[in-house]
Parts: sequence; C-alpha cells; structure tokens
Amino acid sequence: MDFWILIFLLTSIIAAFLVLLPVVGGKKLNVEIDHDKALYKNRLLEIDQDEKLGRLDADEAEVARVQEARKLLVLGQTSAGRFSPSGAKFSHVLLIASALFVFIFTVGFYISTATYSPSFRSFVSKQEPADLSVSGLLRAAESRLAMNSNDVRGWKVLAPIYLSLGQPEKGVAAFRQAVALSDQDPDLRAALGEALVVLANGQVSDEALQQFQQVISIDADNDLARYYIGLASAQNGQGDLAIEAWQEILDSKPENEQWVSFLTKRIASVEKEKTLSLMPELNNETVEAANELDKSERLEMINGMVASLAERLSENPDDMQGWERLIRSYIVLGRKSDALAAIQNAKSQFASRDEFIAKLEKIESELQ
Amino acid sequence: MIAELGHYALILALAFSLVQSVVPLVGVRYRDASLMISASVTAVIAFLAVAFSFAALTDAYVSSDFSVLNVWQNSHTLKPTIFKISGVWGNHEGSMLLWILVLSLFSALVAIFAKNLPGTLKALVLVVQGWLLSTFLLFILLTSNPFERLIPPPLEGRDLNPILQDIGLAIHPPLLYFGYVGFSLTFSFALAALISGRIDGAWARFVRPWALIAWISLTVGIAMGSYWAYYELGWGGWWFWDPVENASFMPWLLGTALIHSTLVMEKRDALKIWTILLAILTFSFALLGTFLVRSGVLTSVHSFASDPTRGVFILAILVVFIGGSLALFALRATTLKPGGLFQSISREGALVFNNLILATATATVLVGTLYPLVLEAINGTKISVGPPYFNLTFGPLMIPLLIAMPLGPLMSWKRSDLMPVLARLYFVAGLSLAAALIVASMTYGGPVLSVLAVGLAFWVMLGALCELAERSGKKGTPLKTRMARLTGLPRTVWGSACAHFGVGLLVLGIVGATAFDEELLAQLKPGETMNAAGYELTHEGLGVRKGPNYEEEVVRITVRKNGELIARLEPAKRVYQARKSTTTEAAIKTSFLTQLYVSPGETFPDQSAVIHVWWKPLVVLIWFGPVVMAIGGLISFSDRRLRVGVPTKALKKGQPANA
Repeated sequence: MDFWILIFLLTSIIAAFLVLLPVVGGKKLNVEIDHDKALYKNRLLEIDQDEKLGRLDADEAEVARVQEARKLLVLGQTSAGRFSPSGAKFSHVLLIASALFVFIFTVGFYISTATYSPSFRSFVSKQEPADLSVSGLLRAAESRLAMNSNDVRGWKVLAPIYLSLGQPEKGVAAFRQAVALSDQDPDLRAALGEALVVLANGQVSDEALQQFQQVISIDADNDLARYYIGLASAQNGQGDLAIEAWQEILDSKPENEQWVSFLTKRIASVEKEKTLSLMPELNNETVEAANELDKSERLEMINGMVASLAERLSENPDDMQGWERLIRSYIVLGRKSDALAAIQNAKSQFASRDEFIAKLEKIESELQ
Repeated sequence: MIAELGHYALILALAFSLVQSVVPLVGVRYRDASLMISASVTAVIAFLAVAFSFAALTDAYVSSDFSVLNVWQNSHTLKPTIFKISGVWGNHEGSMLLWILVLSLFSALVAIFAKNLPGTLKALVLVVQGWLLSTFLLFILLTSNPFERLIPPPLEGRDLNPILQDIGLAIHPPLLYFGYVGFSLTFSFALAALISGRIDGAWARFVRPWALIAWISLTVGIAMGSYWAYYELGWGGWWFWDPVENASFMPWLLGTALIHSTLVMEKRDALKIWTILLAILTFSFALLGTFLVRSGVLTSVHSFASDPTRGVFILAILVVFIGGSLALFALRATTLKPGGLFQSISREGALVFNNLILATATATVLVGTLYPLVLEAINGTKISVGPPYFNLTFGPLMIPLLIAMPLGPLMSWKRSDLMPVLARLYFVAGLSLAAALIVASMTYGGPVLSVLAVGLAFWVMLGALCELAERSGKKGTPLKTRMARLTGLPRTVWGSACAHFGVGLLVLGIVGATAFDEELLAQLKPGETMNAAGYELTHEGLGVRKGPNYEEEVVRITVRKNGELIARLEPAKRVYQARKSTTTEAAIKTSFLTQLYVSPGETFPDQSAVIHVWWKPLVVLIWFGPVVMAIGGLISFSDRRLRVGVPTKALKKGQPANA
C-alpha cells in the first residue's frame, strides 16, 4: 500500500518536470535562423583555413566563398523571423495538461493491464471490501508473496491451499520454495514429498522417494516419510516391506489415534487384499474411500483406476514400474487378454532391457 | 517488486513518448519555444524510464528470480553470470526491450548532444522518434510483457538455448540493434525534413554522423554474427544467406548507399530527394528485419497464422510507418527544392552508380528472402532459396561496383573525364593484374574466376591507396610535402580510403576461403594421424570435461607440421543438462590470416572419432575486412567539419560555378 503511494508520488514529481524544464529552457532556445547563418559563416572560415594550408589555391577559394556567401544571402531573404518568446499562456496550459495526462495515463494503463500482477491486485483489494472467499484469500497470499518471495511462512500456508484446491503443480512449487528457504526443515520436506505423491496421482515417484529418504537421513523418526517409503515398497509389489515399515511406525506408538487406526487399516488391507496394493493410483483419500465401498463398487473403482493407468502409459510409455503394475492389475482382475497385450506393449517399449524382458516373459509363461 | 516497478516504468515511458509525439508538433506549428523544448525533456525521461525497466529485468536475470516467467523460460542458476545477462536479450520479450532501450537512447542522445541542431528540426526529429517509441512500447506492453509473473516460482529455470550461450552472441544483438535502430534517426530526420518542407546541406551534415554510427555498428554486428555462426555451428560456413542474416544485410546495403548519398548532399547539395527516400527505405528494411525475426513468420508461415497477435501487430507497425512515410514522401517530395546539378561522369555520378547498384542488390536479396515465404503462404510448399540464387544474382552485381570503387574518389565533383582518372589508375591495374597472375601460377589449374576475383580485390585495395597517394601531390612532389599533405587531408578522405581498403580485404578473404580451401573427413583411432593441407593431425584420445552447466566430450588432437608440434586442439561436443541439447565447439588454429578448423564428429566405443578438418586460407580477412571498414567509418565519423566541394575543372576554364 505505502509502496504504491510512493510510486504515485514519484510519478507526479516526474510529470512535473515536464512542465518546469520546458518553461525554463524555452527562454534559452536557439533561434533557428541564427543557427543556419552560423553554419555558413563557419564554412567561410574553413575555406580561409584551407587556403592558408594550401589545400585550395586563391581562385578555388574565391569560388567556394562566393558559393557560401550566396547561400547566406538566400537565407537572409527567406528569414521567417524569430520564435515567439516563451511564456505564452497557451503553452503553459498545454504543458500542465500533458503532465496531468502522463499521471492519469500511467496509473490508468497500469490498473487496466496489470490485473495479472498480484502485487497490484493486493493494492486494489485493499481498496475494495475484503474478499473472504478462498480464491480471494489465495490472491491476497499470492500478492504478499510476490512482494516478498523470501517469506517461508507464506509459502508454507499457501502450499496446502493449492493442494486442497486441486492445483498440485502449484502446491509442489510452493513447497519447494518453502523447503529451499527453510534450511532443510524435515517436516516441510516430507510435506513436499507428499505433494509430489499427490501430483503423481498417488504414485510415490523417484523424486518423492528421494525427498523422503533425505528426510529420514535428518530425522529418522519422521512418520510421514516412513509411511510413504513403505507405500513406495507396496507400490513396487513388495508388500512385506511395506507392512514392516508401517508396523515399525505403530511400534513407536504414535499419539495420534487417527493415524494409528489408518495405519492398522492399511496394513490389514495390504495383507488381506492384494488388489489394493496393486491399485495404480493410491492416496490417502482413495484408500479410505475404497475401504468403505462394497465389493462391486470397489471393483468398479479399481477398473477405473486401471483404465486411467493404461491411458497414462499410452501417453507416456517410458515407465517400467507402471507397465508392471498394469500387467499385474489385469491379472488380478482376471483380464488375461489385456494382460498379454500389455506385456507385448511393454516388451516392445523396453526391448533393450534384458532383465525386464525376462521378467515379463516369466509372467507371460505363468499366464499361459 | 522490482519486476512490478520495471513494468510500471515502461508504462511511464509510454506516457512520456505519447506526449513527445504531439506536444512539440504543436510547438513547431505555433513557434513556441517551450513546447518544442519539451521534446528533449520527454525524450530523456522516457530513456531513463526504459533504462530502469531494462535494469529491472537484468536484475531479475542476474538474481535468477524465477517468479518472473521470462527469466524462468530463459535462465538457469548454474549459468555463468555473463550469460545470465546476455539471456536478457536472448529471447523475444527481452530483445524487444533492448530494441526499445536503444531507440530511446538515440532519442536521448539527440536531445542532449545535438545542441547545434536547428530548434524546429530537432523538435520534429524527436516527434517522429516519439511515434516510433510509443508504437514499440505499446507493442511490448500489449503483446510481449517481459515482467509477467509466475506464482509460485519454480526453483530452477529452463536455461537459455545453448547455442546462444556464447560470448559472440552476447555482444552481437546489441551491436545489431544499434545499427537497426540507429537508422531510425535518419528516418526521423527524413520525415522531419518532409514535414517542415526544408532541406539543405546542413540537414545532410546533421544526418551523416548518425547514419555513420548506425552503419558502423551494423557492419561490426553482422561480421560478429558471421564469425559466431562460423565457429559455433561447426561446419565452417561463414555466411548462409539465411533469412535472419539477410534481414540484417538489407538495411546494411541500403545504409551503405545512404552514407554515400549523404556525402553528395553534404558537399554538393544534390541528390536531396533521393537521399530522403533512401533514409526512409533503410529504416523500413530495418523494420522489415525486425518483423521477419520477431513475428515467427520465418519458422513457419502457418505457425505465424495460428498465433498471429505479435506478428500482426508488427505487420501493422510496418504498414503504418513504411506506408505512412512513403505517402508523406509522395505528397511532400515535390515541394522540396532539388539541389545542384551534375554531369553523369562526375564524383556525384559515381556515387549515384554506387547507390543504384546497392539498391538493386538489396532488391535481389529481398526477393530471395521473401519468395519462399510468399510461396509457402500461397500453396504451402516449403522451399529454401539457397546460396546458388544469391551467388548468381548478388555476386555479378558486385563486380561493376568493385570495378568502379577506385574510380569514384578520383573524379572531381560536378563534371569529370573518365580518361584522366583511368590514366591515374594504370599503375594500380597493372599491379592487380600481376597479383592475379602470381596467384594463378601458384594455383595452376585452379578456378579461373577466383584468380580474376583476386585481381579485383587488389584493384580495390590498391585503388584506395592510390587515392591517398594522388591527394598527397602530383608527380615530383617531394616526400616531405606529400607527408605533410597526407596528414592534413580531411579525415573523411582517410575514412573512405580505409573503408574501401577493407572491402578489398573482405573480397580477398571470401575468394581465399571459398575457392582455395581444403576439406577432409576421417575416422581416427587414438594414435592415428591424418594429413590435411600440409599438417599432420593426430588423435590423442577422448576426454570428458565439466563446465558450469554442461558436460563436454573432448577429442584431443595435436597438430604438427613437418613433425614439429604447432598446436593442441580440443574440439568438443557439449551437452547442456537443463535442455538436454548439444552444441558443437569447433577448435580453430589461426596462423596469421589462415585458419585450420577442426570440428568433432561422432565418437565410437573403441575411442575412435570422426574428425572434420577444413583449411581455409585468408579466411580471417572475411571478418578483418569489415573491421577495417568500420574503422574507416569511425575515422570519417571523427571528422566533424563540413568540407566544401570545389569544381576545379570549371574553375580552370574561368567559369563561375553555380550551386
């Protein structure tokens, strides 16, 4: 707010120059006619000098002199007089109007085009009744951060809002900013990892896993990181490792009851229903949702997820784990032909990866 | 916050340049001094505002503030600082901001330093500059705002295109823009003359230094661009007749014509109307170049059509400014008083000849550049007009120009005879012929035309020296007097002789590098040696080096001549991590004017590598020639005095000369 008042003040001071300088300077302006005369007189002097130096002989110099003199003469005849002395009222009025124009135009143009500019929005929003909707608060937070991008707390507040609004890219970026500024705060880094998982539709990506492992290296007891490292194992088909990791968390007796019951449920579901560990897109909400559905609904949900995984792989086929998960999902769901087709696809995609091909062929032979 | 201030400063600059577009005009109309002087005030303030804005963007780049979209798109924290700065103009928005900065700088320079300029002329020039500046500020504010925010900011940027991460490309665009935009001043002077209806020798005197600054920058800028392409693109070519190159070459050709025709106007008060037209056309071509490069029309006519906002805007600028100025020219040119008369065989005549050829050459380049675009727009065929077209059209046009080059300066103003001039050049012709014969005997069985071209190059160079010798005195003048006269010669004479000598060097370089070069390609295992142009090149092994934001695979090569080690070369292929793109870093060994150019090819698991070698005799002259030309321009620029043309011949017959 104060910042903008300063700007407007500066603008008006600069605009004032537009009036002051010309009025003062106008009194000293060269008069054009005199200038041209001076130019030709200068030339005459040069001719004299050339003659002295021997670059022109006397006759040549005389002819050149006559030429210049003639131009001087013509100038004298066409003389259109001098400028009207400055200080005329009309010019002062016009200059003041110009200064006003500069002020109004600059401010007006900025307001009308800078709507995307968060910092400017914050200025406008201070003028208007406070906007208490989520998007209004978000805008306010964004504008504060645009003015001061080193504000860790701001990014910390903003990031989960992005996530809950379904904008995981922005959430990830905001958490990254917060982590970079927070000097390795493990909780923030774990939150960044979680945001990455949300961004990857519930998959613990390599980058997310790295983040969690970094958290563990600083704070070995970080539950969130330990949970997701376990989840990564589960998603890689290593359900036992996952259960082990989660059990460890339970053994350390976390105080949060919801957390205990959630983990207990997760362990149970991995143990009992392998299908759940094969679910291609897994995050807390979907897990909880899946737990509450009946069998047919759950199957439908899983089918939907498998379909979306298949779609993602067709767009971005360079994902070995994804293919493996898709194939296993098809097998569990009893869709043998789909599984075989997926195996063929995966084989052609990773023809050079012998290990993977061998694995696929093993699954293929088991199927037939 | 700084980015917001930068954006705000641009709008402030726009407000001031709008005032500058109108108020001084009213001042001229009503002869009011303070309104006219307001042009200088607005020009300086607008420049300061744009400079602030540019500094704000540069700050965002240097501090890697990725919350600015433009910085994120074109920078990277690991990039060396120099390339963080050059990244500012390594993209569309930033380069337009640089364009505007240079434009406003030139206006401010006129406002501050052109103290001798007649008041109305100065006001009108600044008015036209105001029109240009407001238009381009509107363009950048409405279509290409470099200060757009990206919230929340990513931690890492996408890096600058690696081939632009080069010291050559760091300096090339600013120089080029100085050239392009410098011609905006000659344009403004031309329009000012048309508006006021007054034009005289003084006009040419004031225009000439600005035209020279622009021409010098453009000359060096183009040469530097050419050298950059030579060592960075990795296949030894130095000019590709590529549309982007042509876009800068066309204003150069016309600008060259312009500095010659202002000479006639300055000294003889002739060719006024033509000079005005030329000033308009030169800047029009600079605008056209900006349009071609900035609208995206070159990448594909269709991509231009699908996202036309920017392109159409620049096209509109083109139409308004070129169309408007030509219309004004058509309306007002007849009211200008034509100047002095001259015969066709005279210094003026020779300069007209120069102008006609340069204008025709510009037209051929224009056709070659636009034809593929028009064809693609009409029926979607993508063709490229390559060197064969330009060599067949542009090349022959240059021959008469080069032949006439030594003749012009030896002719007298107003009227002259060819025979005495030719008689003075017999010696030069003989020497050039001798040079050609020596080259012919050395390269017996080689290309005949090239030998003739060598003769032509010597003709131009020796002709330039001959002019100086002639001016130092007639036969039998003692050496001391000659020296005294030489030092006393006007600097413009030295300047033009120097520039013409540079042209000769350039021609010699082109002939040497294209007609007498050698090229060799070989796959070498470590320890193996190849022979190229009398050198022995040995593959000493591969290596990997790490730079700040890239890794490179180096081929270590030793170069020997008759067993004696003369150089270790390390051509490399660089991989830039952020964009996963590669560049080729050729290694060059310069021995005097000749270069050995080694470019790395594919490498194999057995450590063998494909090595591409060129031996290019005299190639250095291709860039040294333009530098000499630019030095000539600088010498000429330093001569502030207006020389008087004296028709010697008429005088001897005792006739008074009429201006």
